[in-house]
Amino acid sequence: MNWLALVAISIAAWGAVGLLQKISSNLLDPTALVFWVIVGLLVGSVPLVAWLPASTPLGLSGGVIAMGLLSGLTNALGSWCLFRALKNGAAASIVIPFTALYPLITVLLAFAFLGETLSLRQSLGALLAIGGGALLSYEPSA
Amino acid sequence: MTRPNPPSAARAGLDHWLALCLACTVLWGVWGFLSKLLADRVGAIETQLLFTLGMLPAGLIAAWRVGAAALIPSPRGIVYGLLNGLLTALGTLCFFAALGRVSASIVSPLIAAYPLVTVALAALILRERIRPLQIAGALCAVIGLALLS
Repeated sequence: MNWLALVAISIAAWGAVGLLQKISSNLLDPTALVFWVIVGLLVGSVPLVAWLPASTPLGLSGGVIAMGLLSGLTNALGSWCLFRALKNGAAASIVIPFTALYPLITVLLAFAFLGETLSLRQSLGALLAIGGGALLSYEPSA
Repeated sequence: MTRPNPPSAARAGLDHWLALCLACTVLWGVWGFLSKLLADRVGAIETQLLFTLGMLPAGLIAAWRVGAAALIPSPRGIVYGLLNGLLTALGTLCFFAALGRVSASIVSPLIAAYPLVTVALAALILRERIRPLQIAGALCAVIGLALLS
């Protein structure tokens, strides 16, 4: 599939997740939501095993397995920090847009360690997209 | 601006909300980077499965901490929670697949614009008012998307 189509599906899916979180905030405790999201991830991901080439599970190196597990762990730990910050009195109107800037860190790491570069036009686009995402996440505290 | 800081929150060090907020941003940023490293080495399905396995301890800890009553709320709560997880899974799978095709410095900023969809859906379905700051954000995001794609 074309990479732009994949990005569009991601944007649509995560955008809908944002709406669901709004709707379900009074139905689900945030910690319970973490549990159900992971149940949903399992339900959605485990059937994908059927699409794996038969040799793949054995073909994964220890490094790749560690990296994969670490990716899940960093994501979960990040969410935990966010919930904890909100619990410790942080205003959601500040914390949510701030954490929406996380792709900046990904871009910086990709520049530093993978030698990725962006043209001036792409850099401007990246800053506008990330900044726009942060502004869109802003909601004044009730 | 109101910042509801209860006295218990006036903590120093790592438990201060600002430190936690920074930690969250960095951890999610590292997650995006690790996802790219994986996507360059294995397919999106393998990445998705390993990522899900890595998330599993958090699910178990969450279950242990909240207890059965909060964990199994109304049937509607469960449907929303599950749907949340399924859509998250679809989003991460496509994110990993896109990372396998182009650079992280293109894909990550593009995906960052997803609140555009949330705000649009909230306006359409929940009849939420779109605030001026969100309109400015939407303009920035759309121009950013156009410049990047």
